[in-house]
Amino acid sequence: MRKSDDAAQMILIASFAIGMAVVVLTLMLNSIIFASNTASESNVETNVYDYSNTVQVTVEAYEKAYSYSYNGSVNDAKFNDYIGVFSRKMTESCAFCGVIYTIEHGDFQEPYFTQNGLIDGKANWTVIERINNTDTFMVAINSTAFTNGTVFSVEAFDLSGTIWSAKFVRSGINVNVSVTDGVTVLDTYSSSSGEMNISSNLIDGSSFFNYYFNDETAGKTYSIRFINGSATSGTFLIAGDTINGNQFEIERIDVVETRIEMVKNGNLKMNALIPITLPKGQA
Amino acid sequence: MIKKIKDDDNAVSISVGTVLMLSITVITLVVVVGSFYTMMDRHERSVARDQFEIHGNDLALQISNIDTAVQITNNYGGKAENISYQFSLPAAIARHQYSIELSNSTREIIFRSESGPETEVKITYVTSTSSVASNKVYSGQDYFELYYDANSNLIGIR
Repeated sequence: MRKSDDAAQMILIASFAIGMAVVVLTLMLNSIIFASNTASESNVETNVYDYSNTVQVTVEAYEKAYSYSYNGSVNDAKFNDYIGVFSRKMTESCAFCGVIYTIEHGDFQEPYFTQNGLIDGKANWTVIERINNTDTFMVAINSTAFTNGTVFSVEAFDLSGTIWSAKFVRSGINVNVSVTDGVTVLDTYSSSSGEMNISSNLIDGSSFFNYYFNDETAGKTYSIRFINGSATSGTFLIAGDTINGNQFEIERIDVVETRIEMVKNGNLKMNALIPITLPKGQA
Repeated sequence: MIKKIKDDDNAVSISVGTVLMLSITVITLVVVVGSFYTMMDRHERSVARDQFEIHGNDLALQISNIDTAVQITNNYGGKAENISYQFSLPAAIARHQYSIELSNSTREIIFRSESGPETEVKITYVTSTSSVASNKVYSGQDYFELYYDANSNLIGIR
């Protein structure tokens, strides 16, 4: 009788211990639920590469639209048609990934010799790096846009410094050219039209003028840069080979300012004004 | 004498014994429950810190994203006129309101909760093209916005 009483007490103690364990477990579990409930979800936009891609696609579309509509001059109707179709397709395909895409563009302008083609663009810049051959090198300078008293120059340079340069200065309606090997002046000319074919040694259409560009750069690896490109506007064409054997062609006739607007999932908005140099402003 | 104490079952009366047992039980319960509260409190603070770290890293990533977008635009010779990112944050984290501070001098996003200095969290952000405007905002707004100001080339929060 006495023994079974003890056993009942053991059961009481054991049940008390189990009860305590349940309470502790519940409290622990509760705190875990509390922690996971307060954890809010992250809703960050993880990348901007779609923005980068969109800008690149847009720039290429403008280049294609330009070459599609260019026949001596740009056919505005054809150009706008192309861009209209592109814009509609882009809007449709972007809509699937939750992006509202809008583009609009201004008028064609004559580009300055700056990096982005606008007067406030970077004035000293490298047009193409590490080339060993230039097939075509033509520059047409608009003398009326040339700021008096400023010098615009085109230079070929390598590790040793400038190996060839042509400096352009306005002189009335003419453009004076002086060609140097980086140190000494080799020749000068006063061009009435501002049109220079540097690779073929021609000026003002068919007059001969030795620019010494081919002589000075032959057999060398060099880069071409523009210095003080904001001094004047005009067009240029440079084509040739880079040292890794690839061909390149950079041609500028017009610049157009394009506004790209993207709204992603309603919370990320981007609005950028990008000047596009046409037909092919970047290598 | 010793034997007498050992055998004496009547040192305390039944009523006093009951009171003693009851009070010991109450004291034990208070200590146990109190320790649980302390544990919960500590846990709450660590939850708050974790939360601040999650949101802070999100913000740091988004600041870098905006900076990258500006850089991409600049590479094209263009001008990023307006970049903004709207997001919402809970009004209170772990039962307390908090502030978010962008510090330009230390390049940090600082979260401070009203619960005290133990929950302060600092997260470093990285920008290369643009800088960040120092500013402080408080939780409870409907939404927050990270924005890029093209004129000053600064990323700010509002």
